[in-house]
Amino acid sequence: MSAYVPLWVKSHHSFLEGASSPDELVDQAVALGLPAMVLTDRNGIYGLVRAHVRAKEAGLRLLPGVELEVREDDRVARLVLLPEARPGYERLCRLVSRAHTRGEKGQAWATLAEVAEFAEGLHVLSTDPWVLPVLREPVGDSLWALCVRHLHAEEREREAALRDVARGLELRCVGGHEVLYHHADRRSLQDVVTCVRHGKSLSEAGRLLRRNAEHGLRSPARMAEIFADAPELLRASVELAERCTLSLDSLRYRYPEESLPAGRTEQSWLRELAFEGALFRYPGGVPADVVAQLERELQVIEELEYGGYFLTMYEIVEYCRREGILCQGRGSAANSAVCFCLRITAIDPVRMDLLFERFLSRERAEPPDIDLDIEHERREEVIQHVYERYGRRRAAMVSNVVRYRARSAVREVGKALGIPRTDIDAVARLLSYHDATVEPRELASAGLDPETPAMKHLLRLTRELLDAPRHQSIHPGGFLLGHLPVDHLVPIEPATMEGRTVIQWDKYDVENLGLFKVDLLGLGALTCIRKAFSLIETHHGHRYEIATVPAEDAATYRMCSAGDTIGVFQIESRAQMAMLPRLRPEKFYDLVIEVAIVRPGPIQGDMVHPYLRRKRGDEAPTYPHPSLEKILKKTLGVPIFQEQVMKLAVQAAGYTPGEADRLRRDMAAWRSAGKIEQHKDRMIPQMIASGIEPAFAERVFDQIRGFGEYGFPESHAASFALLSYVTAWLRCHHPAVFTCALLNSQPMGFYSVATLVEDAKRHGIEVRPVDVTRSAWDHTLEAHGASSAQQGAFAIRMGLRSVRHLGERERVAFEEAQRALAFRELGDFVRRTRMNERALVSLAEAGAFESFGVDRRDALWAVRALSRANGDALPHMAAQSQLAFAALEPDDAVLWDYRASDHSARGHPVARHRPVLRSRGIPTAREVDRLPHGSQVNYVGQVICRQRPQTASGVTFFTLEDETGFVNLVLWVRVFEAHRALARTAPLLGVRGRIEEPNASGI
Amino acid sequence: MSQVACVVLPVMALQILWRRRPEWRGKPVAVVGDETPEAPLLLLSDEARASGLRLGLRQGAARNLVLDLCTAVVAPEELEALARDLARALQAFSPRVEPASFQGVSFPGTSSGVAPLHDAFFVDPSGLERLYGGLDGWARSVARYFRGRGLLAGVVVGFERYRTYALARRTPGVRVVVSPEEEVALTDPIGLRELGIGEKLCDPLAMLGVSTFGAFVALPAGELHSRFGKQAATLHRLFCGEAQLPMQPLGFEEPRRVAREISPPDGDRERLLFVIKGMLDGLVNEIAEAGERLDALVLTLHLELHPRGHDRASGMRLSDAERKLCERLEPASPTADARALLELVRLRLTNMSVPADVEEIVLLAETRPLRGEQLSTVTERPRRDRRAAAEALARVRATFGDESVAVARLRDAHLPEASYAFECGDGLSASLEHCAGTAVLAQRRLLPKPRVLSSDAEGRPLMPDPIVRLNGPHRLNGGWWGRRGEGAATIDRDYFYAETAGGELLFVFFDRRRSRWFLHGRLD
Repeated sequence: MSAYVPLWVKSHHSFLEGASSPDELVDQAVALGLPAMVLTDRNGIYGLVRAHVRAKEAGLRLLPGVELEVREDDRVARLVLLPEARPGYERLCRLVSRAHTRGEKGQAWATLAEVAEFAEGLHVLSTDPWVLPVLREPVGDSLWALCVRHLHAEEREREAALRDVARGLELRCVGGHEVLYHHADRRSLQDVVTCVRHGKSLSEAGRLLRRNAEHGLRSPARMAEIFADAPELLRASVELAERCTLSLDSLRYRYPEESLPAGRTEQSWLRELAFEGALFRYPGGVPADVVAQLERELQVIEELEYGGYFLTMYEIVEYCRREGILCQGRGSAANSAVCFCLRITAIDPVRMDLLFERFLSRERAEPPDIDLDIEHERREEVIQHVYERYGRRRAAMVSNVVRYRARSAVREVGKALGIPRTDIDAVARLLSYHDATVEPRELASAGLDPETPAMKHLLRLTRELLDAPRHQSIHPGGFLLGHLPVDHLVPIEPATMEGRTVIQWDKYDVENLGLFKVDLLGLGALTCIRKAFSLIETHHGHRYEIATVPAEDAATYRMCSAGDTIGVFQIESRAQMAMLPRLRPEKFYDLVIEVAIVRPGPIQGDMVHPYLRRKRGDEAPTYPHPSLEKILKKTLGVPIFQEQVMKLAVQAAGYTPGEADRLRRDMAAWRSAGKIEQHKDRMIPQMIASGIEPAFAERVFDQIRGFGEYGFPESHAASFALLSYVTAWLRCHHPAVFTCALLNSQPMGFYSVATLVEDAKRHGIEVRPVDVTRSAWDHTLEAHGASSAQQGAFAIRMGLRSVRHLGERERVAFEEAQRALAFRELGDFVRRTRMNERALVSLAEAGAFESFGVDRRDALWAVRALSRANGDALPHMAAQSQLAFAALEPDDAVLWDYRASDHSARGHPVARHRPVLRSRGIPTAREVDRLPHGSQVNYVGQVICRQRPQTASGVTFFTLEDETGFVNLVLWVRVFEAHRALARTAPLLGVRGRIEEPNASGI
Repeated sequence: MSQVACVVLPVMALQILWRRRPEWRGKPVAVVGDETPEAPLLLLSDEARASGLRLGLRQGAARNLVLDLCTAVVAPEELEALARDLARALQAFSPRVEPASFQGVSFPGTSSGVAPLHDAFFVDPSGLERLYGGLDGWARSVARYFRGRGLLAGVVVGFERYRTYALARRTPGVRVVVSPEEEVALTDPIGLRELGIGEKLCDPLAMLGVSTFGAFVALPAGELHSRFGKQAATLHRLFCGEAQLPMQPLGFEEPRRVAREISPPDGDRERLLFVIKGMLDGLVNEIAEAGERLDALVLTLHLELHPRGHDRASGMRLSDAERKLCERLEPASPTADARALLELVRLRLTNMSVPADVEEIVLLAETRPLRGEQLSTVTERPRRDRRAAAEALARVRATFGDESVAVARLRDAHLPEASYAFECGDGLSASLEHCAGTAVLAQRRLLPKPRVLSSDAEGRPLMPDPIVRLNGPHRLNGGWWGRRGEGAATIDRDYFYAETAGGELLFVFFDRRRSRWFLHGRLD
């Protein structure tokens, strides 16, 4: 049996062309006994790292390659390019990067001249005879005629022509075929993705589909049969593969060397900065345990040669500080004292007793991963700074592979199968984004028969398509930086977003290869905090930073314990507000717990109630096993954080640290269905064998499964809790400032502008409506009257940014005109701002012209005429005639406010109905709050939040609001189903129900 | 003061749906723009409204909210056809019928503009009072007619055109307004939204507190124009009764039809043809003078009651259907050539079975406007004469019926038998044009259905003339989505070109699923 090596293999990372994952291809190659395999994804190396990792595990020799489209005049060909060694690989990456600079996003092609330019060190394989003479000279003997056999009628003739040309040019031929899936069973999926790619249904696709199922990996015996007349072609494939010696493991990568001050090495400069920073962090003297920790960390950093990475993060943080951009490291970096002293993170890991090894360890020898949160409105400035500092070829963003989930897979497969769109839509709507499978019952629920052939196809193909890549997008903030151009390591593509470039690997690939990545993420809370600090400085004259906000403030914790946390970072949701009065935070660590506990992990693991009982002292902390006390002591015997679960796996389930780390990754890769389930069979029996109660073991595993959906490590929870504390402190001590800053940072957070405004009003803050003569673009603070009671208090003046249909153009026009001269009258405003009719109508509707002495209807009538004469430079004539329109009812004014600006400073929409509601005995939210457990009550309120968490078994949670406060509503499935239309769409809801005591309500 | 009537069919598209699907009455029903989930709801039944649905909601979302919601598309052509039909029907009640419109007012490109008024008609009832016992009787007759057709209509007789329109739209049933003053009093409170005027105009007016007919006409016209544009101003003038053109009644459509009674009835085809020739000459002349060409000719022969050779005493009678023979003839291209048409009639008549003598002949012409054609500057005629072929094929069709000619049309598929299809009907000339310049070197002629071949002990196909060489295989498989629920390919064939000892080239395949050989065609 003669061996062969498949030289032209495309995985499903050849988007919407390949139909098998790199893992499946590798496994099949091993099963078929192939000596090696070349992965040649279309126009890139998107699936290479995944294949490489799997091949290493499976013991297969995997070679990198690319299928690249070339165009010459009107002719198009596909070349298979195989690098022989590292120099050839670098040139291949550069060539592919070049090919991606033209054409639309996702398309790439090169000219033959470009191939010739980068050909050194590359083997070039072509199936097209016309290509060979052009490349013969520049590529030399590394040019091969690729004879492919897929049992097509015309192949024989084409191969004869190709071999004739090759013979004439004294080139060698090599045999093979184009592999698009690992097994012929995947042919139907390949047909479907072809349809998706071309926007056709199967019945329309015709010859766009492959004519047979001969694109699977073939066994050597089958290839020998097909190439029985030319076995030398198969031998050539082996010979060619043997000449290619590159393995991804051999890729050497160095972090970019920072510009260091004279006489310093990377490490010495880092040490200097770290101890300098320690003096800032501990002005009273650096404690001995901190010094020891710093020494220990610096030694590990030096051994692993990661100093440059820390210096880069330091440089970025310093840039932010210089520019007044608030930033803070999150994630496992908060476990590092060096990061704390370099002011990359804000949590003191020594005082918090956080584990440095979770961040960096000699054993793992993995590059550190620092995620930097940056205020969201200014993140782009930081990204552009990184590009500027490192250059576009040395800095590129990490990609993000968008994969099929159940809903998108159903839609695309259904479309390809020609199922009516309304039917597909009915099924898709029953699935949430996170759903990983489609079951027959979902089809039945949508009124479809799962037993029909079309539906069977739909189910099978949807399952096959799940998790397959759909397309490549850009990671929100992950950068790959290199001391050499990044395109020597991996091809770079221009991103859809202007001014961005993206590499062909995602963050998992980067992690798997041990490369360095910098994550720059946008966070609205930081924007809010920075704006609040700025307002405090302007209006109160105090200067604050996150680090100087008074710590452990009792009033702040009292406010949090009352669940009064609208707008407070991370603890403002309905579930968090319900939890706060039960958890009653009294110190910072309680907030850390609060942030982490209201999450699917602890909830699914049923860890919440035990913790609350122990926190209240209703029961004593117990430990499932004495050996676990150390791990669980901080959280009273209840595992809450990701690290605790990892340590449990090591201590109680016999995991090695490496395996525990794999568990962490599998938890993080929750979208890849089934990864976490693999651990179940191992963990639970081992925990039971270690003497742990089976029920506890089951609960821990349920929690792990839940961690798949947003579980928090302790350090991460601590970083977030710090921002929670700062925003809570601002809300408690500077409520007007906080609300104003929060409104100016929108869109962000959990609540609408209206809810924030109503909450402020209920807390005694005066909110003044938009007024073009007094408002700025942003919301501002206005001093109250001169009375002593009002000294130092501020009202919020709503800015024009809250008015609909006003955008950047209007902002610039308004601010320029306002700066030049105060507006005198309506015509003056229209003439100088030159806003369009839509914007003016919105302002009129919002009552923004009332200070000119015109009411809203008069203003509406006037601006419609004025805006049509807006091109005139001369002052506008007053409106020809002012008709007597009916005055607006006060209740209508609130509705108009909502329509024009999504909030009202004048009242609450429910207040207009209060007399009627009162006459019917319907209480306010405040009154409902005082009713005893079990009372029957009718209530009417505005819907401000609808939630159907996956952890709640179909129960829907509503938050209803009136002018006095909130009422949380739990709607059971049968009630929801009976009133679907109302429950899903009604802005105002009347309900009848029973009061539930907080301790009994769900989370 | 002269009076005018307005007939309005409220929710006409829904009424069409209810006629189409009577079982939907009493259910939540919505008319949608198309079948996609994104299509907005255009019209709702009361039940759908009561379920909480609102216009503009997307179909997918609506079906998710109201699980038993019935939705369907009513094509504009369907509305137009019904409107045309109703207008003609109304001509039976008055010679002066005008489909209502807002006389050019529309807000193009938005779904919220003024909807086309397929559902409203202005009718002049003047002079018909005596015939119907008063205007009230006339209006009731009209309403009764619509009821008889299963349609609900509002019929109002009044004085101002758009005020009667407003009244008719608001109140299904019959009303005769007695004075202009009463008409103003009745129409002023009617909401603008009820009049088929979209939210694009209604919404901003409502913001000003202008939401009724009366409030709208009270606005100063010039100021309205300067704020809401020409369209709103025109509508205002119409509603004020200032800009109404005189009624422009529809004409009465006469089909291009000619009939001739044959007395005494005759069965001789030559004589009948002679009569038809005379009819055809007149018909074709009339068509040509109107600047049209004849697309198709419908020949109808009305026969005697008794079959030829039988009299009343025999008791043999033809049924009504048997007594009417109807044949449709299509020339090779639209024509005004009476001779060519007569030839087609002759051919068809020759092959028709006419069981009784003919009492009456009717010719009905389907025409189209004449389009100018450039003279060809090409001097060299293609070897294949398209026109001659088309004429010959028209004669074949006339002789043997429309099904006698089919076109092989190429289709985008891998499977040989799926890569073309024979189709009757349109497109013949285009197909001929395609063929005109094509030089065919070799032909693979497929059998209508693959023929099973037996095989020898080694599994090779057997033919009477022994196969000496097989070239292949060329594998074709696919169509997995066709009939089966599982992923197995429905078709899985290995094709070969087989050379026989006698030198014949055959196209054979081995069906891998059935493990049998088939002969699929020959090469020549």
